[in-house]
Amino acid sequence: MGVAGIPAPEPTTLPHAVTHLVATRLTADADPARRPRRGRVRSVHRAAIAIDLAPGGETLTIAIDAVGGCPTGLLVRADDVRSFGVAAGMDVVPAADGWHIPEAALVVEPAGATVWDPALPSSTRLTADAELTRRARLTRSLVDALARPGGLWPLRDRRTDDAWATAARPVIRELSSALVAGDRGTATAAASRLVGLGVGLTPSGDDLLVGLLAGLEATDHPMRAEVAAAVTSDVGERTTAAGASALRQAADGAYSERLHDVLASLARAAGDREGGPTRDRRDGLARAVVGALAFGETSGSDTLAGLLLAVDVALMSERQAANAGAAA
Amino acid sequence: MTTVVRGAVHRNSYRDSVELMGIAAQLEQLDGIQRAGLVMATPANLAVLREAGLADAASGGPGPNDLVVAVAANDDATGDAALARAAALLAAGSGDSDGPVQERVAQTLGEGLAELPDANLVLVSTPGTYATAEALRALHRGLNVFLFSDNVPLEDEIRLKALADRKGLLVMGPDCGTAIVGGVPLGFANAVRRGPIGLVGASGTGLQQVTSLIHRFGSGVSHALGTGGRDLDEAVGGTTMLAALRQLLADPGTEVLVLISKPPSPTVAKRILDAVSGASKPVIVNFLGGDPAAVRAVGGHPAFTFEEAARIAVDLAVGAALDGVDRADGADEVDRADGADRAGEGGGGAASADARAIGQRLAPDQAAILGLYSGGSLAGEAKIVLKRALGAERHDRILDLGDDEYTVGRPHPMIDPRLRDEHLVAAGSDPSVAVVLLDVVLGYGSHPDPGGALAPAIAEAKAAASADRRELVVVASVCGTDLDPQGLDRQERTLADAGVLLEPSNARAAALAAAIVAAAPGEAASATDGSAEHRLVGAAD
Repeated sequence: MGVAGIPAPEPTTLPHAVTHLVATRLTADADPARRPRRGRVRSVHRAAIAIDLAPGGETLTIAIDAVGGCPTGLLVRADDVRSFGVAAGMDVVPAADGWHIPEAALVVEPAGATVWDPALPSSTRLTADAELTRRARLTRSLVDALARPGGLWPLRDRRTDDAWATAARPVIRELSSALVAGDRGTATAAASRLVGLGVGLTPSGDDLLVGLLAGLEATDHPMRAEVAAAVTSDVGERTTAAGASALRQAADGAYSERLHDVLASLARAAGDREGGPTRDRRDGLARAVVGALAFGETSGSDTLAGLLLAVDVALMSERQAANAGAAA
Repeated sequence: MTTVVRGAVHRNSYRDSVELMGIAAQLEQLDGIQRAGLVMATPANLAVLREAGLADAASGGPGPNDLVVAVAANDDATGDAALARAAALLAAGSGDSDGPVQERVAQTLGEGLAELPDANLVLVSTPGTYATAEALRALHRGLNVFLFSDNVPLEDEIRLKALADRKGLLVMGPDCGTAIVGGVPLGFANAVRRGPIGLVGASGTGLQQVTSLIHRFGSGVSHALGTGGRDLDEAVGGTTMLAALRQLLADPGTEVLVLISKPPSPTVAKRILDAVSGASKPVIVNFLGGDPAAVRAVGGHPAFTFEEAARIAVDLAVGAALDGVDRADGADEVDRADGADRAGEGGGGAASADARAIGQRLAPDQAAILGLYSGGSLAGEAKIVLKRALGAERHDRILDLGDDEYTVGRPHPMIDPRLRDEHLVAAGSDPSVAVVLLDVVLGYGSHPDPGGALAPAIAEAKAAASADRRELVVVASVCGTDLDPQGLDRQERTLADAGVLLEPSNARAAALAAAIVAAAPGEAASATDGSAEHRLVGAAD
């Protein structure tokens, strides 16, 4: 490589990697049966490089650190990962120290990186109370103001000019009702119909389901496991590689750091019993919502649509239980 | 109304929703297109397409990672044209979220390539932070890069050039200010006729000087390729110069080559000369301050100055034999005693005959040459010529006013002459200054009337000196051609009317300045008693 007599440049080793699932599952010391044998760069955008790993269909993401932690991702201190010279189609070779992309003279080395856990911490547990109602309303108004057109937001819109939103909304209503009613069959079927639906590398339906699974986990919904199984069954044949990866991760309880932040901000209201949330906590929620909407055109708003759907289910269920108790 | 559904499947096509929506919006604006959609071919999306009557668009069994382009059109031909348009936009697209496209005005590399699919060069002029990414995108698309941007990290330059080298492409830059590619001037460049001489230069104004003189000597330029100022540093290794050399040796339109640089790293100079060895075409090597013997040893033609490089190139291009004079030591260029006009042109050469007379009119304290340059390479050449003529112990101030220290927060002096005007006026009040040496650079990108902009400051400086019973001598060369927008003749007349002594090349101008101060009373006195210190206003370098 390089002109004869002139040494090829030393490979660039990416700094400041943050990882969790990658470290536990995809590094050299992980179970050899699950260790990927090869990979290929699927796509390169300003904020992230997506790499398909085989076998297993995992996606390795190399993202700028502004994106925040992601379940099978590495964060690097950069403003633009395109500057690494990686292009779609390049081979990715696993090695003892991580992954190599030889054509770009790039080494991805997770050792020594700060490790971040994509599983939801206990601080994200949501309690269905009046404060959660207020904060969900605030979140909805923020997303209304900031969401870009083209995804599934808002769920209650009656516009009919978007074929995908038109197709999705009755399914979403059906899903919501079934989750409140405890109707496993209807809920899992409706959720399945959202897989792969919509425009984008990760279709809007998949983003909504990721948010929904996070919300169902945070609210401890009894049907979460069935819904997760339904949306990941044969998922590789039902949606894009990016969407399938996101759904598998969500089913395993792994979510992005920005989704963590929104949940944590919603959950902090649990202790605010007098006088409503403080200004600081409102600002914290606003910052978290803005952060969740910052990357991807409609991915953030679609994900929050799913999260708020789960919150609405929890609040409705709580109201029904309270009404039933009062009647008894 | 008749509705025809047409569709196309793009396998494993990964585009984000903004790009897809933007393309869909463009397609829906085409006459005869009723609906358009671009979606990944997931089962759920195919069901929606069926609901919308667009099922026929997804024939062929596309999978979830394939992109379906579906249009409902008035007729087959309209539908097919829309699909072709979509294919072109996708082929040129980058998948980056640049926002919805409202108008058909290229705002990204992808859009530009959609309009110019045969383009093979990208000019990048963004802040340095973003330049690397843009250059990489171009290289990955198989395009050469003219990287005008500065503040690109050295490690990025190394990586860009290694990638370009693997792909057989050129990265001209970073901080490359000048090129002429296929007759098209890029950056700061002069209007010159096409011809058989190809140039590679790690020196913007050096390229401008040599190409202008080639034109003035009656020949022309095939390509003038810039390398950026760091290309011949040890770390970069001359990657672009070597690649450009290979390309020009293979170019049927190039018969003679000229390599130009400020003094390169010795290791890199050797690599370049090794590549020159055995070249199939004559190669003139003008590494300022370089070793002519090393150039001759590899079969190259050494040139001491930019003018000499141009002259040798033209001679070789027209098949004229060298006259046997050893040109490489620069003796002919600086020995102005006989006033010989080697340029073969009228005008400036005649001034040299009066150098001694002019020098003898200077005041005893006037011994310094002040160079006020807009071109770094021309300043460098002047320093070498002056040292050669007057001795290494001279410390004249030869300022490159295009250097970063002078241009922070203000335009380059080739565009805005005000900084140079300030120095000029100050020189008029400096009793030590004998000669002000200037370069006046014409061409695309330069000030529309540089001579006219300098003339008032020159007049003011001369007046200030005159009031103090001194004569301030201003010597200049105009780097340009009759084809340049500023008009070579007009510029020379303006400067001559302002009392400037003009020479046809920068090297001759420096030589004239040297001849004048060599005849100055102060220099004569020090030559007599050998004790006077020639350190003047500060150190030159």
